[in-house]
Amino acid sequence: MPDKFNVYIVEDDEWYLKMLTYHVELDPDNEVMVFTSGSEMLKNLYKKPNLITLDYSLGEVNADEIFEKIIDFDPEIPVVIISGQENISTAVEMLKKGAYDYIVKNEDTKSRLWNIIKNLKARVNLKTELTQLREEVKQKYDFSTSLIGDSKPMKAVFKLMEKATKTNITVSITGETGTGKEMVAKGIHYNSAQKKGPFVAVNMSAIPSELIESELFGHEKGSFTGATSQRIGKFEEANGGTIFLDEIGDLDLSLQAKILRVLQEKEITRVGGNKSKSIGVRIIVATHKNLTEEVQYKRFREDLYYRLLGLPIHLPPLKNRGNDIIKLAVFFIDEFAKENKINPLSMSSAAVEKLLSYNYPGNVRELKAIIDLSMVMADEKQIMPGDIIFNPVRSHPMLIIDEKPLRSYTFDILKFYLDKYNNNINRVSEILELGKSTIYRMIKEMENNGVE
Amino acid sequence: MESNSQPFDLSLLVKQSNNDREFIRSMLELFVSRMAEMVKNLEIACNKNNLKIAYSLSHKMIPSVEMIGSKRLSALLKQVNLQANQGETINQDVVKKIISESEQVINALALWLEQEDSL
Repeated sequence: MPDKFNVYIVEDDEWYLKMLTYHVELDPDNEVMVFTSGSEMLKNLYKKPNLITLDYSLGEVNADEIFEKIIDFDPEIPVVIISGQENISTAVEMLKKGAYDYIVKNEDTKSRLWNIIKNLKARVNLKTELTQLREEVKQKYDFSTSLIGDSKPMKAVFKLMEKATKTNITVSITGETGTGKEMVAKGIHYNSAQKKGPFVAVNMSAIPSELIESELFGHEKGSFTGATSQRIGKFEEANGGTIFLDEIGDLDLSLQAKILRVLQEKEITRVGGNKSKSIGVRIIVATHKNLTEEVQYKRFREDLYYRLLGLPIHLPPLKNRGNDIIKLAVFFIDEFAKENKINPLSMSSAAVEKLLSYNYPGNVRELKAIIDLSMVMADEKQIMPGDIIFNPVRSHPMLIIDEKPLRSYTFDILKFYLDKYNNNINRVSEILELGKSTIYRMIKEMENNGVE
Repeated sequence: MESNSQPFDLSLLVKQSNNDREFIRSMLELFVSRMAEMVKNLEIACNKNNLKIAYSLSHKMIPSVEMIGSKRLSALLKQVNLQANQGETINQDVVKKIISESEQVINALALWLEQEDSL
């Protein structure tokens, strides 16, 4: 700890004042200021000590009065009440009012006081660390540095994000996988009034359906097999901050009703519990699914859809962001170099051309992987086209060069679109420009041929 | 242990200060220099049946008396403190005992300090 730990000792008994000062000053990191009256100490409160020890039996005025003035000035300053004799009711009363601790003048005073100081120092360290981390996070999610791009569609996104930070309106983010939906959610949170509260991200599609209710709302001990202790849910964890519900479109209908209740009542009930708890949480949702379509097919509740819609932000796919691809690439090069303590490389114009020619099905996430690999592959001070390797994971069946009959490829194509659009025959029929009856016939054929 | 011949016991003060002789000395000097006056004020308060002052003074004196291990004097002060807190008239015999016991403690401590000086 760079600064001294400042302790104010307020004690009108000269003998005990000397005793306490001696105990506290045994640690050279502590700095003591002594006061024989409360009023004298109050004049020095602006210096914000790390701890005040307050004798409960000050001659001049009631210690309660002095204590209340300290709390009024700054409730964060820890105050330890020191009393000549043990008085449980006084102790309870003072602790209820917000005193940090209550100790008695006896042979344990020294060790109690030392422990209090030790704990407070740890708290001060944690607080400093937290402030530093908050500052780092703030910088990390500053729009101007964290979300890179000045293409027209991205400028529109930034404008909407700025609007989102001004109020606690629910935000719904859509966009393909890898477009940075969580980054946008964090960007909104860390630049909004909720920034001091937690940011809790929940990926709905990653939690088994039987656990999701307990994960979101928590559970009471014994509420189901395996609930061996009480557990708070993600909504409670996010209280005072933001909850980011990713892949909200994957939530099943029964839970949708429960989420709707949370949004309407602003309270949650733990699984197996009967008490409701009020919560104040900003909600940001994201999905890669088309929710209007999900509503149309009754897979998503219409009332919840309108509740969640709030401020919609659509993230464009990377291929539509033009020169942002190169800006992001340069950012990832610098990031990779910093993380690996190497010099950043430049890109040859042919490498830039190559990057701009690709369609990035995995979006920004894929670009980052491509750049990381190119930094490893590059031999010179420059990234060359040969260092840029595209490995689209989402390669679809028609790109697979297998030796098989055309009919099999037809099945592959149909299966790909049926999967992509959740067996939405209308949509698949539109895309493939085939009649619905043809689609149904082909599905039947697939089944007859054992294609799953 | 406090004995009949020695009305104080410095073991707690020694333990609390890791036997810091200079500190112990300064604490005892301060104790001796102010105890007589505090007892005098307590006597006046008790004689006038000013229970608020008697309570406050005895309350202030107990921790230091306990720290120097003067158990008899501490017990007497606690009695005054309790009576004053309960609004009872202070027993004059107790006050007299406090006066004589404090004199013994002060004298014994003064002697201890003298012996320390001569070491």
